[in-house]
Parts: sequence; C-alpha cells; structure tokens
Amino acid sequence: MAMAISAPAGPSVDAPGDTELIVRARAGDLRARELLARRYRDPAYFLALQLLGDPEEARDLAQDCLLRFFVKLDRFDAERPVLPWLRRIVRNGAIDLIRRRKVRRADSLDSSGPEGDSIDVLDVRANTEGAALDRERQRCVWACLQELSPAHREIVVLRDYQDLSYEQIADVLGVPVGTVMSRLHRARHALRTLVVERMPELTAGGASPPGGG
Amino acid sequence: MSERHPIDRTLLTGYIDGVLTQGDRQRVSVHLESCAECRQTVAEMRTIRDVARSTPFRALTDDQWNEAPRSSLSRWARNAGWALLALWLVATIVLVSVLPGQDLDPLLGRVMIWGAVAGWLGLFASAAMDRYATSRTDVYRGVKK
Repeated sequence: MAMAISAPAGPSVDAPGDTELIVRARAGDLRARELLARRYRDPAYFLALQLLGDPEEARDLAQDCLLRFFVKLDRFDAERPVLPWLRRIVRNGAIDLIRRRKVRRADSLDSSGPEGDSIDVLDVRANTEGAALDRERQRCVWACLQELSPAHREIVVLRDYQDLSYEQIADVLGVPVGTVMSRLHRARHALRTLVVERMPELTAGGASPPGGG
Repeated sequence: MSERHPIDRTLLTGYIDGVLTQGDRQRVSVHLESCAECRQTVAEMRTIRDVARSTPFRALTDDQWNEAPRSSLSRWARNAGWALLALWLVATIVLVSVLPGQDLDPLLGRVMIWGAVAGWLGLFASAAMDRYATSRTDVYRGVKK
C-alpha cells in the first residue's frame, strides 16, 4: 500500500514537464494523459480526503476534478501551473459536497458526522512504541479536525496538512493574505481546544512532536 | 488587545509559522517572555501543527482508482435491492417449509412478487448508475483510438 505525506511533491527531474505533457495530451497522446492523471491524482485525492474526511467521496471528487481538467485541456493554458488550479476546483467541489451532505442530513435527520474518525486513512504500519504513539497523536488531531466547521477545517488543511504558504492559501480561498492569519488563528484555536479536551497529554509540557519536527 | 495581552493575539499564529515582520516578531517575543498563557498557546498550537504536518495518508492503489465510482444513491439502491431479495428468499423458505401444499393468501403472494421485482429493480438501477458514473469519469472519454 503506497503512503505519502499529503503535501504533494513536484515532478521528478527526469520526468517530462507539465507543459510538454499537456501539449502532447492535446495532440491525442494517451501516454501523456495517463502521466498527467498519475501525477495529479494523489494531490487531488489527499486534498479532497482532508477536506471531506471520507475516502470514497474523496476519490470520486478527485476523479471528477481530473475529468474536468481533461475536458478543459484544449483551453487550458499549458504554461499555467496545474496544481493551484486543481486545488481550487477540488476545494470548490468539496464545498458543494459538504453543502449537499448538510441538506441530506437535514432531510434524513441523520446526525452522523464525516467518517474520518472511524475509517482508516492514515498510515498504520507502526511497530515501534514511539511510532505507535505518533500515530495515536496523528489520529487524535485528524479526528478533532473532522469536528471543526468546514471553514476552519479547510484553512488548517491548507496550511498544516498541505503546507501551503499564506499567499497560496489566499489564492485558493480568494481572500486577502491579511485575512489568512486571523482565520487560521481562530481555526487553530478551535482545533487546540478539541485536542486538549480529547488528549491532554498530547500538548502537556510541550510534548515533542512526531519525528522531532 | 488588552492590558494582559498588549499584542494582537492572531500574531501568535504568524509567529508559529515564521511569517511576521521583524518588528511584529520582536513584539511577540517580548510579550511571550512575560506571558505564560501565550507561551502555552504557542507551544500547544506548534505541537498540533507539527503532528498534522507529519501525518502520512494512505494513497490509493491502481485498483482502487479503477473501481467504478459509486454514488450514495447507487449504494442505497444496491443495499435496498439485496435486502429485499434476502427477505424474499427467507419468506419463500419459511412458506415452503411451514405451509407446504397450502394456498397462499393472494395479498401475501402479490407482496412477495412485487418485493422480488423491487429488489431486482434496485440492483439494476444501482448497476446502471455505476455504469453511467464510470463513463463520466473515464479520462479517455472522447479520445479517438
């Protein structure tokens, strides 16, 4: 099972660049299409998963966003970076799904939350005591993240899970850079309240973070 | 800002992320020296951020990517279809074993027939929805061979 830290890596040095692949894909090169799909499916999936908390919904959303990318390929500026554009449409798609989820829940009186707490989406290959503790902390923070409001969750995801700069976050959210810090602070404050409540030992005495980071 | 915290506390987040101007960073540093509450906030937020950053997620395999995308309506129709067919099977077994050779109440007979038909329809609708969703998400759609 492949695993990855969620912040996406760029293409390797030897791999053809996006511009070349887009030009080849437009000309009908199926291999170029496949390479593009393979390059961007994980970043799209990880972002969707972190925003939605549900692996199946995340996969469907990522597939849908990649489809939209290929449908618009003829009109897509090949010089333009793909990832920022992809992030925006994944985020917009996730917002739509969360809205529909709310309507469904209101209709069905189903109060269950996203399934991030119960579905295993994290790496579980921990066999040392330290690694197991790290996983427990990661699970706790992930579970608390699912309890945040969508607005708070998305900004924590973009900064702390996707490792985007404040400028990149402002671009995805369509807000001024100055707004990012205040919104992020409120979101982190809400997350901290939940984490301290659920796992006080995680933060007590300045607990060292996993991997010493 | 208040007397206890003479800085804008949202700056603490910028301080954690290292994005403050030199002036703001100094103001926050000076305040942290004298404010245990803000020191704790910074330490806790930093720990949580680092835990989040180090979280590895499981990537999907090729097989999982190739699975037909299934909408919640499709899942519901499939589950309902199987549930109806299972009920029909149980009812049939019970009737055959408990009431062998006896005439079936016409109403019960109709309910059983329509239950089975509805079960099959649910399965058929689910398969049709899955097939439609698969065709929509095919990255090679529209590409001539």
